[in-house]
Amino acid sequence: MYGERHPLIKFRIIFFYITVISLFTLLFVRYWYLQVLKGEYYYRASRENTLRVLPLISKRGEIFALSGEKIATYKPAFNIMLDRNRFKRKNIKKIAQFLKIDKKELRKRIRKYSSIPRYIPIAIKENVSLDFLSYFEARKSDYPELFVDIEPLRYYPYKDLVSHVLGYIGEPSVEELKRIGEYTFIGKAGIEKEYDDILRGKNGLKMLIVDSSNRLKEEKIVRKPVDGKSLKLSIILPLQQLIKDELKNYKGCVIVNNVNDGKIYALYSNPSFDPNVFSSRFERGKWKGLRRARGNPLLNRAIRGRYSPGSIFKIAVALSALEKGISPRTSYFCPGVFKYKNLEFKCWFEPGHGKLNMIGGIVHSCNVYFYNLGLKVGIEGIDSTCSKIELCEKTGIDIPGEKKGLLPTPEWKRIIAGQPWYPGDTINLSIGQGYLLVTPVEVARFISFIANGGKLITPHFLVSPEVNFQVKDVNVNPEYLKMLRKAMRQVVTKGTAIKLSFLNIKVAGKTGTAQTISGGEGKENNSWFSGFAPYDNPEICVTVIAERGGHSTDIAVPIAGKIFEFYKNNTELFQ
Amino acid sequence: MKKEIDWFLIIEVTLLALFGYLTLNSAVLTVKGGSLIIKKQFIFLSLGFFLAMFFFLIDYRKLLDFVPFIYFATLFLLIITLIVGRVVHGSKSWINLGFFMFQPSEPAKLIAILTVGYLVKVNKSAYLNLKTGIKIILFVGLMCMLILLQPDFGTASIYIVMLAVVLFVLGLNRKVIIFLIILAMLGSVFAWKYVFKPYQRNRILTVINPERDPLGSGYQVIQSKIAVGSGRIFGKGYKKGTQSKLKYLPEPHTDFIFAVFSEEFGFVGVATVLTLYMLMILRIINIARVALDREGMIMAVGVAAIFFYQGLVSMGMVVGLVPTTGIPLPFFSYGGSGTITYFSMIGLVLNIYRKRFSII
Repeated sequence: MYGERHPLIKFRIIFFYITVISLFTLLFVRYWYLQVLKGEYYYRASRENTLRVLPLISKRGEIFALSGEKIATYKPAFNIMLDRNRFKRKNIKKIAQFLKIDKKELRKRIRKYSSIPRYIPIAIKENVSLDFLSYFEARKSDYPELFVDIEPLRYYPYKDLVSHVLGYIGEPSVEELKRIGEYTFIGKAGIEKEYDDILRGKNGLKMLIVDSSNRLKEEKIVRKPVDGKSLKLSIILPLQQLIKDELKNYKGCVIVNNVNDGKIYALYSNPSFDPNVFSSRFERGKWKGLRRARGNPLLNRAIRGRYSPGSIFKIAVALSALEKGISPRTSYFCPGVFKYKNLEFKCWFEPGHGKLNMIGGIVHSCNVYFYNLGLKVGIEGIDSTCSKIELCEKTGIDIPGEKKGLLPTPEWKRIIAGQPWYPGDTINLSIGQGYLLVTPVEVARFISFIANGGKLITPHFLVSPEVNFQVKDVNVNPEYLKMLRKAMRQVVTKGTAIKLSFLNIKVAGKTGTAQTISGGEGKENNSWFSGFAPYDNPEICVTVIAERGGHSTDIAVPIAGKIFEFYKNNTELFQ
Repeated sequence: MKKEIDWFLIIEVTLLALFGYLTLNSAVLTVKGGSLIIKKQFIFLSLGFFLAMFFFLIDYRKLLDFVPFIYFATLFLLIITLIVGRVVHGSKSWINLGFFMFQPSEPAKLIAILTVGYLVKVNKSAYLNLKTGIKIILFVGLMCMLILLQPDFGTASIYIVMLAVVLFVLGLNRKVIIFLIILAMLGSVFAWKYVFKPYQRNRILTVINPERDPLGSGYQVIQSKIAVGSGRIFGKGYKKGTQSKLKYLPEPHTDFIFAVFSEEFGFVGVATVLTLYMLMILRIINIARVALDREGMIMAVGVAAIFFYQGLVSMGMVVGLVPTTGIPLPFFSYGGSGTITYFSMIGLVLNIYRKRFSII
């Protein structure tokens, strides 16, 4: 018992005892802290360590035209994918040769994705052709690390034909991401944007259990993806095609709509663009090119183009006069020029129209008649009627981005220009010139309003699922509208749109030749026509504007004629 | 009644070895060649049992007579290792024997303890004198130097700690202790600046704040803390630990084996093993206290010091209390040289206990 006999050694042994006990107590406390106090925290951490969550992409709803043609669908894009868990670096040359891609390019792409987890395969050749696919399938057994993945790519088979209506999709912005709460392509314009909530669906969730080197151990579907719903639009493709062909030489747009329920059968804005460019992540360059392209193809002129309405506005001035109680029999004499104090305002027909009543004024689109009438009605009268029929207000069409026109008022002029409203302004306004601006879709709604006997109907494309669009009855004497329809019919039978009188359908309408800002004659003018048919029982309204199309009778009227003819010959398509 | 056998110690060691072997079975599931490791470890355990019997049955006092020869043979072996050794994890610590990789620095621990015993035996004075002290430092220090040259700092530190504890218990002068503590502090500052490699400094800094390098040296600590913590009170169940099975734990069958155990058996298991392990050390210290002579006493203290230090570091490392060092946990970690050494040491202390009343 050596230790017992030597007090110093005994003391030091006891000291050793105490050290062991105290340090083990420390260990004990540490484990207790980690496992008992913070156990739940670390347990969660261990779960998160092993869990990876991947989205299961939902299918975006398809869009159909009125006759059932798919106008927005998907195309399977065949991508050659690389499973990096099986990939060996030394095979890189062999793979590059097999896929006929540049070795450096391949190496670069693999490096680019090196930061994303290994269990996610990466695309190394996108959108391959079917020929390539069969070539690949025949030899793929030699390349276990490669496989084909089918990615549903948004596809618009008619390319630029309906693009301004359909819009396009793209990657969500930060705000949009917050709103929809998941990463998926989202509607960025047109119908795709307007009805995004219906079309988009909801992504599913896949849970992967992986090890520390990101090798997949287990896979489980947590939530199945919910596919988006399909839409049916009132678009008639052959009509759309007809318009595209007719309008090809001019910037401008055409709207064909039903006057009674607001369905838009055709809306084409020229120049147009191919929305397929936006569907793929890999074609950023083309997209940038589109934004800078001549003629601004991304601009939807039908809803965002603001134009002087020109003589089409005379209908609104006439309505204002009637509303103010001025008789349609009121006559003025047109000598070809109108003098107001020391100013001269010309009629477009220099020899002069002679004496005209209101119908005559409309039929011949006589400026002098409307200078007189406008002054008689007064700016307040014109403004109040135009506000009542919401001529320069957004129509609420079901594609986003609509702009509204400009209805000048004395108050507006005081604020903007700091000047009072002069009678000369009223004179200019009376023939649809000056400050006044409208969008083509506003004109379409206005002419439809005349045609349907006083209902302001929201123009729209959506047919199904069914949504109720606004229909507003405006308190206007039906007799006034009947009189205006009669005048518009006579525009066709003996007036400025006489070319349309040879059609086998009774058309009514109004032409317009609006001076552009640059002024001048002939080709510098915007060519307008808006009218409806059949005259006795109006069904469709056609609105045409061709920028710098010269005189309305040269461009806009013949295009409208083709459309009315199409309607007459293919009425069954419009059901 | 004279008790010849310390059954408490035997039970504690048996239970620890049992837990250790079970844990190893789980830990090697994701390790390459796991089933072979299990078979080998079984052979080492059996071999360890026979070696323990051997060291238990011979008289340790007679054994000490052979120490000079054994010591120089060991030195020779350590030098051979430096020449023909195989490099694993950056250290030249192994000799390839074909059927298994032998690590001489492990059994050398036992030889170091025996050497201390021998040096104390040949010294006749009651307390430690300067001459013996210097001899002990020189002879054990030489072994330590050879191991540092491999370089295997982890294993070398075991020798240093053992040396310190042994000198302390032998009655080293209080002034000298204070002097040595100051020297050690200065030495560590010097080592920090001039000896430690950046990765070693990193490991030490990581203990203070593992998040400073979560993907580098902090990674192992964070993952091992997650493993331990996620075991909660009752554990995830035997062979059901996700951290080790999904390879988040490095070296699950050697250095980080206690994290595997903690994850699967929870705090209940940890408390059991900690208690068993501490009781085992206390039991060995008790043997030192009751040992017949000074050499017996000091050898038991050396064994206790080695078990204490290795257990503390190995179990402290997985919970981020001490820097990541490659120190195995006795009876748990896989390793032939280690296993047979630990069992031999247990045999030796049981021998010391058995001979505590001998007259001759």
